[in-house]
Amino acid sequence: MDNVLYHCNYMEIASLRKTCRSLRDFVDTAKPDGLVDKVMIDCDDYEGKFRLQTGEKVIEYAFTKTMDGCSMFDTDNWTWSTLLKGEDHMELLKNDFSVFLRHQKSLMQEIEINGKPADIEQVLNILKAHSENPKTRKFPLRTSKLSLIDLSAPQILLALSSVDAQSLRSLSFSCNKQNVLLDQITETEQWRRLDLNDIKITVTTAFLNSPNFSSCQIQYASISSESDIAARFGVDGDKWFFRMPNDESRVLYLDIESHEYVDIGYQDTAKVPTGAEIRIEGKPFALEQALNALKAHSKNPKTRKFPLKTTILSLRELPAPQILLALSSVDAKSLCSLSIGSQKQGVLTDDITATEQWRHLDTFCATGFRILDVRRISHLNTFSGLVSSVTAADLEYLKTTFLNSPDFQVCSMKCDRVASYFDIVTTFGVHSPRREWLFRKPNDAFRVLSLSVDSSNVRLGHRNTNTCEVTRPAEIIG
Amino acid sequence: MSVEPEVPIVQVEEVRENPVLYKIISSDNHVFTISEHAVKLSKTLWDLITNLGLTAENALDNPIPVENVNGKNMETIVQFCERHKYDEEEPEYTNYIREFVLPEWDRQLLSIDNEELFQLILATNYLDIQKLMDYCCRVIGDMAKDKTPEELRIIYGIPTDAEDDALERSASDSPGPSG
Repeated sequence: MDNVLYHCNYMEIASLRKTCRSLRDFVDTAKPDGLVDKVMIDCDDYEGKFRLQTGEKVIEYAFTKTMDGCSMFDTDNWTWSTLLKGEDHMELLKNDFSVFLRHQKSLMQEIEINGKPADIEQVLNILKAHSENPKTRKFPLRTSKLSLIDLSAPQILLALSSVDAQSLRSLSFSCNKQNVLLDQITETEQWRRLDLNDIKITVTTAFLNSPNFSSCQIQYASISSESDIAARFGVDGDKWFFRMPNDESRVLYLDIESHEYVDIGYQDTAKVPTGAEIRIEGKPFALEQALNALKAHSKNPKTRKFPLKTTILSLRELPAPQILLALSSVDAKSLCSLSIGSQKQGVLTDDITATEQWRHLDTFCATGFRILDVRRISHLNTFSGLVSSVTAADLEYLKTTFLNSPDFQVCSMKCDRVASYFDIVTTFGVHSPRREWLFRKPNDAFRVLSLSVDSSNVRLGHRNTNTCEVTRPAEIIG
Repeated sequence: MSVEPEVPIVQVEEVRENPVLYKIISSDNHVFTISEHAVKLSKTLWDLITNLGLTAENALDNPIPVENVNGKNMETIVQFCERHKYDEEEPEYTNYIREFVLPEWDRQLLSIDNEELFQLILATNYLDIQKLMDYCCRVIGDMAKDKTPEELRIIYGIPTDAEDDALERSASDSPGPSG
């Protein structure tokens, strides 16, 4: 009988078990190998899914919560279901998982566990109990690959430590939360035996938050394309730098420059190439703690002698207070360019434009943020962004400042309110039907400063005097 | 060892290739000739041959009686052993068996009704031919593919729980040997 059942897959054994008492007793006693290749479990408050794959054959079913119990669906045909009155979908899923664990003895290719942390905990506890029970632990769950999705760090640890360390070669986990601590996970025997040939970018976040991490060189068989990684981090290149939440003196670097190897390690902040861009992005809530830590360390007497130096700082999807935190924690003298962006509309507060870092900037680009006081951009060489309002006096002020700035390039403003044509004419004393005014630059015979104004846009830039004087010599002022 | 002179001797073509031959007599007095390489697939027969001290010279003069296997099953077994006598040793009891595809020749050989297959398995078990046992079990296992429990009951002739209960009741109600 053992031999016959060896040629049957898990579902066939389950069917045979249902035929009669003798076979049921035999199956329960002998516990023939389930011979399943892949398993997937997915659950939430209302549904539990179980998928078994043996060779090419896949069986997937779901228990769905109903008013008076739950329904069992074949996921290939959701219109057909069996109503199980008074049954709880999680209990049924757990029971099926327990039965599966009792039978699965051979090495699986993959097990994927996916679910809301609160619900999946029950499933993981069954896996843990299986690995600790004296009767069952001689057949620990053997799988080459373990995929864990949306689990918390303790749950990742629980799952990882419950599978056979000798068999596990590949681990993949992803987590929505930023603060995943790898320390306990990396101490497990299972971790030490991993091949680590399939790096996921999420690992970087984990290393970033792991105080005991020192360095890591990973040989990979496959890796995300450079453009995918660049898209993930928001910066092009083959080497990326990440600020440490609790350490201003060092940055974490990720280098994929070497063929077939990924290097992850620390580098002195001072040695970060000046041209390198440090980019911070993420959900505001998740970054709050990290940014607070950065700020605290930038104030720490021990660490502030190694301020984080970068020429470009890009901040995406952060609210104004967090922009202030990030901006104030980098070295003001090194920072030249600041780029901020958000899909939500926000206001850049005076606190930000009052920082020393702001005063040292020469380039500023913003989308989704408004500048309240437009005169605070007058020190910039390049500006592109939104402003609340621009009066004729503001235009006069900016014109005068930019005329005297040898490095000024361009200022392009989209405005909620712009001075009227009459006010501008009154201020500059010259009419311009084309709504463009040109101003002579001191000590520059070849260029003039151009001011173009329409109902919602103001642009200040340079024009070549050769073309200007020919076409509109009378409009040149000064 | 008496052999009925009128019993036909079943010759297998491939047997002639092998100089060392043995004779086997089934329970219904059919005589089969089998080569040394083929007979080695049966642990029971090979143990018998070595214990009896049969050699190339006296093997054909000393037929081996096998009381538990009839001529029909013995014919199938001899054909199977001759067919697979030069097979390479298979890997240990691993996924090899599960992934193994039953050769068409063997599937044809084992395309017999359930009762015959059951008798063949008993004979195979007695003669201890692991490879044939694996193949027979594979055929039985394959019968279960994509079948419901109800269909399996019909295919394998399995009684339901209710029928089991009824049998138990009738067994307990019937008078014992003394009664």
